[in-house]
Amino acid sequence: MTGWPITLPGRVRALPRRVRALPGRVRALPGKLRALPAEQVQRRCAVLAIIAAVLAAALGVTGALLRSDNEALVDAGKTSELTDRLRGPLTQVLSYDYADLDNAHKAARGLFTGAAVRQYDALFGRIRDTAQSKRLIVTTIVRNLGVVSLHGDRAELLGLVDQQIMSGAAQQRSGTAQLRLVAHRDPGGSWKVTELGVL
Amino acid sequence: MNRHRVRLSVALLAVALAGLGVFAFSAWQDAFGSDASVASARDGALEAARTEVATLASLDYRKADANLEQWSAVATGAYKANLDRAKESDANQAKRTKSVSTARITSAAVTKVDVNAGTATVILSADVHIAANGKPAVRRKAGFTARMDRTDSGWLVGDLSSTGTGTP
Repeated sequence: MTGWPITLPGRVRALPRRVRALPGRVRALPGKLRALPAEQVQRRCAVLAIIAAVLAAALGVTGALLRSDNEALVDAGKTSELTDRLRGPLTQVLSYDYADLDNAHKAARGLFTGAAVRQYDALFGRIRDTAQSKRLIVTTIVRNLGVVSLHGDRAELLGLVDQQIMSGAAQQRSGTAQLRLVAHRDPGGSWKVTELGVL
Repeated sequence: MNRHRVRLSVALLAVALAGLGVFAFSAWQDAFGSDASVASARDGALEAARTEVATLASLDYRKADANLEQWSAVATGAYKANLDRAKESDANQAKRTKSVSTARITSAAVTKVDVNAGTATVILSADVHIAANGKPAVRRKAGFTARMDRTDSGWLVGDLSSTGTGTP
């Protein structure tokens, strides 16, 4: 120890020796436990168990705080199942053909529930009402559908859609829209749109 | 009787320690596991895209040069090079038309994330106020698709396309 610039306390200097002696001490443990009074063993076990429980609780809380609740993309299967499920029907309900309005109606009944039914009517009722007289054909492409948040059976989505409107024979307009959707998964496991709005 | 109680308390302690082990493992997974890295890449790319795309969709002719420097600072790769090349003509056009556009992101979602490659795709919707030649501002809605790249200076826009009619 002569080369050491500082003098270590005795307990620290004794550490290597104590570590080397550890296996022997562990082997001797059952014997020592038997030799101790039962009450003392119980008390020590209880104290250690309480410390373990407190540590476990602290770790659990830390883990829960660090974990992101948003399952979007983290649960890749659930995320793509959700967007795959909504993309097709959404394309259908936003597309009209004056000669076949039933198609959009049927798709809307299967896709929307709750407030979304009313919101859909408010947004697209006028187009639907004039579709026949103006001979409208609305072609919609859902260009992008992204999951903003996904918590259990509730999701919020953003959809970027392109629409092409043909009125009569030749007139053509095109536009884009950004949609906000809220979807819920019913007990049967299928996703339904409960809120629909234009951003 | 006493022996029995000692065994029981040692067994209970073992159960408590095993529980601690399980909790420690799951906390470690939550904090550093692959799910956590997907979540942090997703949130990082999303947060960056919201501010950076708003920057790229805003331009004020009165401070065009400074704005275009900001465009360059939030872009990366070939897209940044394109912006830098077009800097002068963009500035001239903004000054000629006296245009002021201000974008506010209204919603955004990550559609793809690749943790290993350090890339993500973010879609955004924005309200863009556009005023030109002193006329009153018009409000337009726009949709954007941004490819985000993780760089040494954080997530930057590697490519941007507008799906709306709102960009000037």
